[in-house]
Amino acid sequence: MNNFDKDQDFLDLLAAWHENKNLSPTRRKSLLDRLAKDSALRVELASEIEMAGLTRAAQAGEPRWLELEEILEVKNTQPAGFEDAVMEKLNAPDSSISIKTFSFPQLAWIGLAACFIFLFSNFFSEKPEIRGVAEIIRFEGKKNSKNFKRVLTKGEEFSFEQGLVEMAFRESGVHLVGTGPLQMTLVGNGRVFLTKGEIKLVVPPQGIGFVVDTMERKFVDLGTSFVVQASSQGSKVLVLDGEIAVGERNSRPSQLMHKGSMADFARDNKMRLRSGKPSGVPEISVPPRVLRPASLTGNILGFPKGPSELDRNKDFNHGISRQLLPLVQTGFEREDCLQNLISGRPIPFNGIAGTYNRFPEAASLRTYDSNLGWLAWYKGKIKAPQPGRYRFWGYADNHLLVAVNGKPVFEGSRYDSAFRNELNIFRNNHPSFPCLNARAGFARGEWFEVGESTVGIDLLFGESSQNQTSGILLIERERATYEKTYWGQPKWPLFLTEYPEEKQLAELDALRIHMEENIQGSFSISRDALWQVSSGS
Amino acid sequence: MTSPSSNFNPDDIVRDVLQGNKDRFRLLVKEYGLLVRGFLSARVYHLEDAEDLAQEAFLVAFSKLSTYKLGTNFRAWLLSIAKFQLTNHWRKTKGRANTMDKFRHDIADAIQPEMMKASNQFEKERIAKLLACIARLPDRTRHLIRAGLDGVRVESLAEELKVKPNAIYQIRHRAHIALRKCMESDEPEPVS
Repeated sequence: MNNFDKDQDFLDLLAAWHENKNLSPTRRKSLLDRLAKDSALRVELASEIEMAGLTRAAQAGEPRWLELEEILEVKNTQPAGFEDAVMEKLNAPDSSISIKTFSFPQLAWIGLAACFIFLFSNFFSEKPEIRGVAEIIRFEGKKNSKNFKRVLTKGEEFSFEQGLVEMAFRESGVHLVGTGPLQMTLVGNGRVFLTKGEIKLVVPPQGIGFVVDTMERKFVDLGTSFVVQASSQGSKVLVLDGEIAVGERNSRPSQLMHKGSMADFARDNKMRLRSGKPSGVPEISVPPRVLRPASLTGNILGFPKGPSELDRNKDFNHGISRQLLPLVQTGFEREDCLQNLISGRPIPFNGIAGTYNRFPEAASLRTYDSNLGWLAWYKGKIKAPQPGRYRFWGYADNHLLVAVNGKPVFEGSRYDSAFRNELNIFRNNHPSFPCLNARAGFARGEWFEVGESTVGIDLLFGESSQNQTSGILLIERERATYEKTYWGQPKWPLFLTEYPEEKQLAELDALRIHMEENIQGSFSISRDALWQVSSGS
Repeated sequence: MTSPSSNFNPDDIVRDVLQGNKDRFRLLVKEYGLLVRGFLSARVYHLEDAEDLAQEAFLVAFSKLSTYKLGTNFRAWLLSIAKFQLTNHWRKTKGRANTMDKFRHDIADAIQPEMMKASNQFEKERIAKLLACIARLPDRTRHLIRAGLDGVRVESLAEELKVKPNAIYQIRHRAHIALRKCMESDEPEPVS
């Protein structure tokens, strides 16, 4: 048997497969040549790759497949309960098999008994019990129909003009309060179609996955309380607690909305997020309109609306970060890739910390194509608070990159950003240091050295699509001591070039408290850590 | 993860689902979920993409269930759907692929038969043992094979463990060999 773990070809193939390791064209060709000739290598590589995939999948835990759950009309989506229920059903005696073991006389007796019970129950009860989907607990107001029933069945339309109704869904325990005028259809145990009116739902754990359809959207509950309103103009949703998944009516729910988020959905299919706080991360005010000589200046960039090449191809992901790759790759020298982009007003750098849902509008980037995202590019000359070695910590949903003297020293973008996937910038993720909504925790870059003189900085921060943007960028000085959280994360200072004003300080404090209380992460703000701007753009 | 039933017969379930008891499809998802996710995770760089593709594969299987021929190999039928989804995914992402992505596709092409054979070797009983086997790995090795999941790159891991990146692949490879042996054994033994 070959000793493949000492075979450099085998190790290089693994590195290329798993980590996108860059290999020269000659090396790639020689590896493919050997693969073509060496069957033992092919077998070992295939086994290794298969095993790596299996261990990844096994350790990742079972995913929640909303679309599949919906098609199978899952009533209880809690993983343990779901499995238990399935196993229970699997182990339960199958009635069709059991019947086969009965003898004919036994069947005859059973049949007679069943007939007797049926006749008996019909004789003594005026009406058989209706097995409904939901039961009305309370109703106050004016009813539409004379046949107003206490128990509502599957497929039934329910409406009234004025007042309030309170009902409970029998299987899921979902509690619904509706106000008139209301018109809705009970599609099933876990689904209603709201045509008109307002309903508030409180969904207990066993009701997770409950769906509310409107003409414009489909709302899937993920363990929460939320309000949906529908009218001839469109629909609205407000998440009171927990989170919901929102999607087109005939596609999978693709967007998560969290506690405090509110959105309008117009009949023309446009969505307007009125306030959103992804993962509860507090929203930070937009950059101030005043540029000072001490400000590091940036420009916000986006694609114009219209039939551009990218616009025609809407499944082209993360257009803006890909568009700017040549800029980064040339050390921020060649700006040809910006030619087709539009920009907003110049903006001062105020640090990156928290949620920014109105960033493009506030920076006057109003007519851009939000489907293709935006990027703020800050550029200038700055001086470190003291000479030494530094490194950045942070994360952004979606794009975050910092370069010093044209060389990228930090990349903290989300997993699907082109910055992350195509630039091979050193990055280490720290899941033990929680960071906003990043599963992988804080990312950190490599150390870089600065002296007494100024250095050039280029900082890119932005969004790949729509507007649920968040990020944080901190900086650490080598051998400096920082206060630590109870959980051991050093409170590195926010990377800033100006000390925040009172209003921003209050917002940043709210963010720090949120991080400490909810995700056990933190940061600090320090005058001693300010980088001084010598040239803002 | 629970152990799959040793006398699981997918054809019975398929029959039930086709007769209208679609709830029973969950049993198939439960039985073959890890197999399909593992198959796709081995071939797709981002775990999130692999999970999406796995869901797609089961959705397609559900909608095309009537085309499955009872008495043939359900597992192979399901994996052929997953493979089709994967090919589609590669086709769609080809336009965005960089040189190294293309190289990965070339590698995949070169070892396609071996990969199919390797995935066929993962019998369901052995897969059920996998987590137990992983739990028996030494802490350092377990951390290492989990690292990719948490988004830690090999270079970073090498720096953290003060070894060369090559050594990470070597340790991982040895761990995978040990895991394969552990999965094949009747009683999982400590893995070193």
